[in-house]
Amino acid sequence: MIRLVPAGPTDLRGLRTMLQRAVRLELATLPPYLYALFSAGENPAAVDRIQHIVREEMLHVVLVCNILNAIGGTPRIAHPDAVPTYPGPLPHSVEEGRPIRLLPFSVEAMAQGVDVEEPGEAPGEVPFPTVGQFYDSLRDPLRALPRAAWDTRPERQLDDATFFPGALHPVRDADGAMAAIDRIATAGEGSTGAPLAFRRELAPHHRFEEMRRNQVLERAPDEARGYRWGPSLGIDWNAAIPAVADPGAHDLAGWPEAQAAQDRCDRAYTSMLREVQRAVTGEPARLAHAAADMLTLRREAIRAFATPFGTPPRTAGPAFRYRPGLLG
Amino acid sequence: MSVLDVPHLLFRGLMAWDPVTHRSVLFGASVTGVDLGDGVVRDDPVVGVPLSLTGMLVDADPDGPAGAQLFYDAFTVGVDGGCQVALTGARPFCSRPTGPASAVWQASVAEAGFAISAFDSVALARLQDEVDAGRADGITVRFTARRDEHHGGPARSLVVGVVGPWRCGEPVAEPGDRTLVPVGPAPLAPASARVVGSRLVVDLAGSLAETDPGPLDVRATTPGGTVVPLGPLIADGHGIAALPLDPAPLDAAATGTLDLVAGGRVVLRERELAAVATTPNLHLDEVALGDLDVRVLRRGRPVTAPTSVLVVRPGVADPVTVTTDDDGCASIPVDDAVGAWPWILLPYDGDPPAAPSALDPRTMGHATVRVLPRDQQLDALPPTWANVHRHVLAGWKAQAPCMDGWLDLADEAACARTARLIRQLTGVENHDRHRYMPVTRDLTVGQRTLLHRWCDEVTDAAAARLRKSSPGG
Repeated sequence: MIRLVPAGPTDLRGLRTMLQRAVRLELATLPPYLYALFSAGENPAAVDRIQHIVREEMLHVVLVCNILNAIGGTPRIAHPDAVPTYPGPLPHSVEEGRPIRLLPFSVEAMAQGVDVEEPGEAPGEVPFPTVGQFYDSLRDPLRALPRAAWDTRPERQLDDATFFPGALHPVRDADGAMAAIDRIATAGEGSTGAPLAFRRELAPHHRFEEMRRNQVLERAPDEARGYRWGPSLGIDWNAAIPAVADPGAHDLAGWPEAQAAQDRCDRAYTSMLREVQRAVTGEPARLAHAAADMLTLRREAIRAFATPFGTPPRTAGPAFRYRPGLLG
Repeated sequence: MSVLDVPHLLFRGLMAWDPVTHRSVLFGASVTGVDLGDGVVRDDPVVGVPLSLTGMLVDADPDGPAGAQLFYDAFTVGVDGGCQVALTGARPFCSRPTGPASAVWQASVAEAGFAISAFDSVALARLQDEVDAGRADGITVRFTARRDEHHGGPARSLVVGVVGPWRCGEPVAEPGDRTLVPVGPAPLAPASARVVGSRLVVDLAGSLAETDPGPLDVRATTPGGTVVPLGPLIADGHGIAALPLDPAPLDAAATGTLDLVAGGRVVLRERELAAVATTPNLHLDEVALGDLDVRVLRRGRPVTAPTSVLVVRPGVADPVTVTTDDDGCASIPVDDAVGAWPWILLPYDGDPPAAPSALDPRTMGHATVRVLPRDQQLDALPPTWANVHRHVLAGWKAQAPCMDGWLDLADEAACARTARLIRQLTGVENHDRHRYMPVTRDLTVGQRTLLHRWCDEVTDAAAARLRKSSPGG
């Protein structure tokens, strides 16, 4: 369970600061999940689950940007301050001794996903809120904003015309902000602790736990919690790509092909962040370019996974670093 | 249509159609009820579960009024671990236009292509029973998409649909029930009807997609000429109307000719004969011309005696008449006319009907047949990048720029690195898969041969370099 530093002032400026924190936090979960996804190999059940989680996290990034834009803020995506390094703590989390890593698809990677996504209620006073409590703490201050505080310019909002149909809504007032927070905070059954009914996609921590255990979580209405652990999920850990953990932490000097492979990954990731930045700051159509960069990133990641370095040989991998110098 | 039979699931949602990428996505969709034979109920645990479908919308005949298909890999009702029906798309959804901005879509999946996780869902358990007992060959999904004119930007449709049993011998991709066709100028689309138990069930989802004729009544004219009023048809939110009947009117409904009446006027009348193609959108090439297989139905059941079918291809060939076998089946040879054409199929008793000058896809049986040229002149070309790009890949980029989204088709190095995947995605065996390339299915035999020769060469060369550079190589 992730615990965050306490929320700050809840005036308009303070809200913008907190929403920017939320942007950084949501963005920071993507690289570890993408690394696991790209290295999952021939494991269709796991690929489907992680892809769904990644799409949901991307949606969260854009929804938070919509809220931030709607209250006159400017999201920062393609900026060194906004992009964490790996291994390293999640932005604004209190557990600095527990870094988030780029792990290839493995039991360990799935356990990390469980830990990151696990919801929960911090007991009693809340000096270090959970992610859910953090978002909840934004509701009242947002509702209290005067009408004049809301920026309704359409070019500052992303909608679902091209991506995330039915899920990505522009935010123009407090109701829109609440709807966005509802989507982020309740992303899947099981995020609130109620018994599972399997009438919606399950919350990410349930799916990560399935993969960690390599077991299907299945409906059991006769059980108090609504589920039981069922048959094998069919994961073949040996079918995963044996990628190196934390690729950015390795010295590739002397291995020019591996370095070049990693540079190509960083270039694609940097370009993607730049396109998202443009999309959320007045050029919504750039989101399509960001999607294209994501596909390029995947191609380059697969290529990097096939590029050896070191003795004994390991393979390179995407380090998810923001390196604008690579774009020229 | 077999999905009017029970048990069936009803669903509702929205469909986003992207004309640039061809990608079409069902969203905001969920099961809204189930019918086990006594009307729609909502307390089955499968009610409320989401549905998912992503497909590629492709026109077999881009210039014609019909021939749209949706190539998909998976259609899923429910979420993993819960009450679920998971279909693997072996053949695409095919559409029947019901108006300028609406269509009925249908696909059927045989037993080997789906999995049901029933848990405590009575509806899903019954559906599985139908297949296990041999009373159904598989599952049929049918939905009506109606353009939501209130939404701007890329096309969005309101969708209502049904998931039900695919009864043995019934058509794969189009309605095979009793068909009621428009009478006169009323802008209604055809409806499907079926007697199920003690009810007359009518699917009006397509009929009412773009117009509302007001209150509808249904009546049956018996073989003896007696007109028997059956009652009002009140469609639910999914366009399905189920009318319970006492034995006498039920018999009239089963044996008579059905009429739908609005404002005292017959707006839809049952058409006794229908011809349906086994593959409504047939993709062929000059090398492997085949047959268009059709089956004639009389009041929703295969005929049991040879029946004539007038086959019309306006502007392409003179009309011909074929005769089915005793089971209503006929195989019509496809000649070598390169291009995409509608084939109008008009079964008849007695004298042949007048050949229409154009296809009305709402009211006429039809199929779309597309024949690609052989392009054998490409066989002699060396499989160089220049030839592959010029004769194959450059055309893809022009036809469907969306493919640049994941692979720059002008980049030799990028294409070479992806050669193994390109070869896989362009294989004949993957023609009906969601990610087949090119998305428009415009790959001739000559182009495929040239492309695959190049893919094999670059893949072999890469493997040789890897062997040479590895320790001990």
